[in-house]
This record gives sequence, structure tokens and C-alpha cells, in this order.
Amino acid sequence: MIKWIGMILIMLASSSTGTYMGEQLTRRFRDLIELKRAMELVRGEIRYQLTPLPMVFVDISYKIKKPYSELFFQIGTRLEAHEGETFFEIWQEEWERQKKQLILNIEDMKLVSTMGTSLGYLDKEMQLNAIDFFIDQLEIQIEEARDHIHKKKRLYQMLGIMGGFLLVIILI
Amino acid sequence: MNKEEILKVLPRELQHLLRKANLDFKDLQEIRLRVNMPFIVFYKNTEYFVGTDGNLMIYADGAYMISPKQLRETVELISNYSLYAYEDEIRQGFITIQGGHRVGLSGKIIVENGTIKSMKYIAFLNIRLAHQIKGCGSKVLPYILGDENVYHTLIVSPPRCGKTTLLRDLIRQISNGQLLFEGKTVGVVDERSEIGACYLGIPQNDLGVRTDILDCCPKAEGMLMMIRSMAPQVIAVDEIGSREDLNAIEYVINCGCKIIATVHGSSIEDIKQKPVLRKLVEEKVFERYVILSHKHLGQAESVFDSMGNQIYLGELQ
Repeated sequence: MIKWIGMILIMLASSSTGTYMGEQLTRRFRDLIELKRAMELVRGEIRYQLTPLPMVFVDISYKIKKPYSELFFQIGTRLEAHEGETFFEIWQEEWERQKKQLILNIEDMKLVSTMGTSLGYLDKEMQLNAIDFFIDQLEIQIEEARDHIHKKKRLYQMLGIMGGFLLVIILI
Repeated sequence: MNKEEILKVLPRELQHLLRKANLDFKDLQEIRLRVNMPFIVFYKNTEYFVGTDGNLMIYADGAYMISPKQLRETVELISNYSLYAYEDEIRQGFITIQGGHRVGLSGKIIVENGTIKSMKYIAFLNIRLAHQIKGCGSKVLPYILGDENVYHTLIVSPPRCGKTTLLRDLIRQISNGQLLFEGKTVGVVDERSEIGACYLGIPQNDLGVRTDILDCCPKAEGMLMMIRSMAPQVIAVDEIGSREDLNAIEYVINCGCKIIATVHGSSIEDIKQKPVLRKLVEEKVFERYVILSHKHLGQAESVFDSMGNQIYLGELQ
């Protein structure tokens, strides 16, 4: 009897690990899409309203999902506070703080960091170009993420189940 | 004046130095930053170099040097991290920050089709602290008040003698009114955002209860707009001089409005040398001339009537 319970537990654990890993792929995809949407809002605010960045970030924080809403709100409030820091410092620190809530890989984070260096001190045209470039790069990452979901999600799930089987067989 | 307003547009190290220097911000007039050059402040009418430990010095030896990075950071802070939002202001060469202080910018100008498009590589900054001296116009005010309305007045002053400060206080007092003088509706055309010093559309200086402000508006057009839209009794403008200004002033006077204007100069004779203004002086358009000098910031040295007779002589120290 105990043997059976053990077998079921192993199966459950390994298959849910597989599902979880597959799920991470979908979450990265969603995070990237939401970031793209947020940056499109930023771009719109700059292009059509010329709103200053502190206000842009606070305003947009109410229109986007967690954890970006928290991230943007913090960036906006800190910019507003004017404590002698540069935009890049604030941007880096706040991303670092929220990083755990996000499923972005190293490459995604590099892009984010590059974006931080080109916000805050450029004229309108260059600012918009920089954001356009960032969004283009994000799209490439999004495509890649979509591809991964197709190719790897089922694979991870299957591996989870098969791995469970293998372990059970060996242990029996 | 709020000390923090100034400090918060400076990078941390410079903030730190100024805090150490322990200045009375009421007497601080300018902060000048230039790339790879010493940190300079204009304090109590004297130029000082700021030393590496925050001391004020007469000589440049051992002065704190401004790095390109610090200058870039300052620009970022001044523009509220949004240089793109200030393109029009940058084209004019200055940004007004919270508290009404003006930051003059200089650098490489980008020209497109013969007009200034923007400024790149901003390398020189001059933070000019706005000083509101309430009551500095009180002594002159009786001389420019007529029975019904104020006289057409021209304030003549060399740079940095407080002509804008005086104009601002006169506007406030005329707009608020006094015991024996009913407040007037004043229209201010603030081309360089100096009089009202609007930040996000809200005047940072007190210009009185009956004052309307056209911010950043070209003077000549603005004066006409004001008359058409806001029905002012008095129009106030800073630094007149161009031919268009002259035409607009004539229009204002024909409309029955009174005008208070300022001009760079040291005496009535001096402004007679200027081709455009000479006409106004010779036609006796202005009924009062208020002359300022370096001796008292924002205080009149003398007042003349349209014939050139002195009717007021300030106390000279």
C-alpha cells in the first residue's frame, strides 16, 4: 500500500515540475507582452502630450498589470522626489527590486538596462527613436518566447511525466 | 525662498558642497556651471569660486571642477528627466524651474532651414535665482499713480539691477490695489517667463489678485491678444525693444490701456540713442521714467516725468 502511495507522489511531483517549467515559458511571454504595452503607452505620452517622465510613469502605473504597475509607480515617485539621482540609477535600482516578480531572462534584462541609459536626457525625436528601438527589440524577444512555448511547453510536460515513470520503474 | 528648490536640481556632490558652504540663499544670485571649469556662485553681488570642501574663494586655485557627467546630470534634473518636454524653452535658451528660477543654457545649436531647431551638448548653465522682494516698489508707486489709472511708465535699468523685480512688485501692488487706489486688471505678457515665472502654467511669483498672464508669449502678439481677450486696464511687459513691440505699444495706448514696460539702459539719454525707443521718448509717449542703478537692488534711483523733469530722487547710500 505504502509503495503505491509513494509511486503516486513521485508521479505527481515530477509531472507538476514539468508543467511548472512549461508554465514559466508562458509567463515570460506574458511579461514581455505587458512590458511592450507599457512602453507603447510611454511612447504615446511623449509623442502626443510631451508629458514629463515622472508624470508619465505614475500615470501609466495605473493602466498596467502587476508587477509593472508597482515598478512604474516607484520609478515615477522617485523621479518626482528629485534626490539628485540620475534616471538610470533609479531605473536600475527599481528593476533590480522587482526582478524576482518577473520571469525575464538575462537577455531581456540587458535590453531593459539599455533602455534605461537612453531615457531622460534626449530631445523628443531621439527619445522616441530610442523607445521605438527598444520596442522592436522586445518584439524579437516576444517572437522567441512564442516559439519556445510551441516547441518546449509540451516537451517539458512530457519530460516531467516520463521522468516520473522512469524513477518509479527504477525504484520498483 | 525655498533652498531645497535650488538644491534639488543639482547632482549630489554639488548639493553637498553648497550645503557645506552654508550660504544664505536669500543673497545667492547665480550658480554657474561650465564643463571642466570651476564651480562659481554669485553671492551678495560678488563672484566666488566654490572650493573642494565647500568654502568660498576669490581665486580659482583649488576650486571644485565641474565634470561633464555632473553637467549632464544637472541638465537631466533641471528638465525633470524630460528634456523633450522643454524643446521650445531650450530653443529660447532657458528653462524655468519650480520656484520660478531660470536656468540659462548654452551649448551647440542645431540649425535647420535657417532657424534654431534645438541645442545639443549643453555645456554651460547659469541658474539664476528668482528673488521676489515684496514692497520694493512701494516708494516709486505714488509717482506712477495718476488720478484714475497709472501713468504709462518705462523702467530703465542696466542688467542685474532688479528691473524685473521692481516690475513684478509694481504689478502686484497695482493689481491688488491700496486704500486710496482701486486695484486694476493687469495683463502680463511674460515672454521669457520671468515676471510670473510659471511652472506648469502656475505662476510661482505673487502678481496680485487681478492679474492675467500670457506665459512664454511673444510680446508684440501677446499684447494684442491680451487686449482682445482679457480686457486689461494695464499691460505690463519686460524688455521692450523691437519694432514690432513699438507698434504693439502704440496699439495698446490707442486702446486706452496703460502700459508699464522695462528696458535695458542707464538713463533717458541712453535710451534716446536706441533707434526704436527714441521715437517713443520724443513723442512723449511715456509719462514716467523710473531709473534704476546698481546701488539698490530693485529700488528706484530717480523718477522723471515725460518732459524729463526729475520728480523723485531715491535715498542714496
